[in-house]
Amino acid sequence: MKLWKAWKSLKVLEAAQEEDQPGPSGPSGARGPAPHGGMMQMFQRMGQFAAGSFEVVAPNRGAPLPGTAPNAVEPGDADALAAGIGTLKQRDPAFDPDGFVQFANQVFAAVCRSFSTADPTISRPVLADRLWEPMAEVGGGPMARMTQMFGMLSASGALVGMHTDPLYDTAIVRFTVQVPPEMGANMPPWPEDWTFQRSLVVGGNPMALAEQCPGCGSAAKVDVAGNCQFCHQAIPVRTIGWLATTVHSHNPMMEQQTQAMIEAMRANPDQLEMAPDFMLRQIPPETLAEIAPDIAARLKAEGRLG
Amino acid sequence: MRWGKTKPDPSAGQPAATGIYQAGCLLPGTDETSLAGTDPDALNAGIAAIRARDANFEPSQFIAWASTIYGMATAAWRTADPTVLRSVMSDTVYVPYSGFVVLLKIVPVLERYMASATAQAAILAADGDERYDTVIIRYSVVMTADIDRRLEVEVGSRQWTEDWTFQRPATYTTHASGKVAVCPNCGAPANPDDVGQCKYCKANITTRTAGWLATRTATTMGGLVRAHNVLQKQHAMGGVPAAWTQASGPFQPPQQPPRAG
Repeated sequence: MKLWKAWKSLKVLEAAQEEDQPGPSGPSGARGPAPHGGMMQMFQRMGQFAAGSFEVVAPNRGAPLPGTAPNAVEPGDADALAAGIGTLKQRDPAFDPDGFVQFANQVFAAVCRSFSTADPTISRPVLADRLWEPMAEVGGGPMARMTQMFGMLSASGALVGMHTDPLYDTAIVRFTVQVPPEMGANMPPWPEDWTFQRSLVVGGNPMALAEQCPGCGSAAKVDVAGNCQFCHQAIPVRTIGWLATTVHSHNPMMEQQTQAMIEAMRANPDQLEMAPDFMLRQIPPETLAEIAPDIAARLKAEGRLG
Repeated sequence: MRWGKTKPDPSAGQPAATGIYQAGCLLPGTDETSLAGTDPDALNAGIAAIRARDANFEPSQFIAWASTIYGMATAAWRTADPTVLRSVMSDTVYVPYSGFVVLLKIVPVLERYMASATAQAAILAADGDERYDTVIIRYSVVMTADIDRRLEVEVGSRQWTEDWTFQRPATYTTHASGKVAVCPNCGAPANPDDVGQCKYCKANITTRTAGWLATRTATTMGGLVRAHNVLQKQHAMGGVPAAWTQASGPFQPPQQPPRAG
């Protein structure tokens, strides 16, 4: 399980950091800089929380459902959107774009409600596992105040992408997110693209792995990358309906933080191998390949890049 | 009056008034009215009241010590370790303050901004009575880090004032050298940022108190004040995001859109 792998990675990092601690403390009891610079320090701090604490605020969260076509999760132009909606309506005449956007707004509000009340069960029926699990892990723990702040956000959505394939319907909603005026009148709104997906075959509550591999027909057993352990084809999931599966946020504060993380990794590319998966997923693949091509290729093959 | 309250408030982390976030409470029985005067005459009278019983109390030394305390605060933000402040804060100040430091761990960018704060300290008010000596230090704080322009941080979150009230029992006196920080074991003077052993008696001095404790802090930092006010309002509304309630009425759980077949 990804979260477990991330957590184990953090524990390894914490142990490594403890072994590498410099001897004497500095002024005011503060320890001197870690030998590996800011990134190890950053990892150590991340390790003080559950892996999900960062995942719930990271710019790139979640993952498309297994077997999703690569182009399905990219917003298209107006023509592509209209064509996507037309294709979907042929198969599902009940689909109403306006009603869907209303539903998406409700999902955003449900997530905010989960944050503000520290009750992740509110949004469980409409979030895929990879989005919901980190939120559930944070729960009412020590990060409650932080998640409360995320509960203050409000947004309105617009449909910007629609795609259908043999496994899933995929829609992309662009939210314009803002903090309450009384909180930060100067903070400009920012866009967040949320991917919503539903399986053509209904199942799960809210989602479950298909019982059989569509490639080889064997009973569904997944490898570390989430593929069939026999034929290595992606095993799809069944959903009860539309679920939010990914979030790409352009929150300026978190983007700046991500940039700082990337610079730290540039300075210490050897540390990439020890970085937890959810941090690696924040780095654009081309940037990762530029920093450390060998590591990037291997991580991709291992399915660690989401 | 700046402090907004006339009696000690047992609750910590409450906004005293719009524009100020206040944490902690004065020691029980503190005569707050005697701290209201901040003009030079009142300030001199307050200092004189302390010096009447403690001739070694030196305002300049106290300001120097208070400056190092703020330096410890920025170190706490930088290292995400609030424990360096434990020995100089009362419980009602330390609990919310350490919570704030821990909160910043999740957003290291904010942590870096806060760690860049520098402060000029000055005595704002002072008083000595039969129970306590009380000194209010005003820190004029400026954030020196380059702030991402996209964040559009307003002036009130880049420079602000913090008023820290330090108190000690009236039975305490200052070391003959005028140093505020002392070894808790032998009473010898110590540099406030000393760690390890007292150079005189070799006792561990990392937990020295010097008698003075910050019992109340108040800040005008815009972002913190607004965040707290919004959280308070949200809490009063039972956790419902205010913006959502205003825009869309009561919360409705998402309902899956209809689906043919």
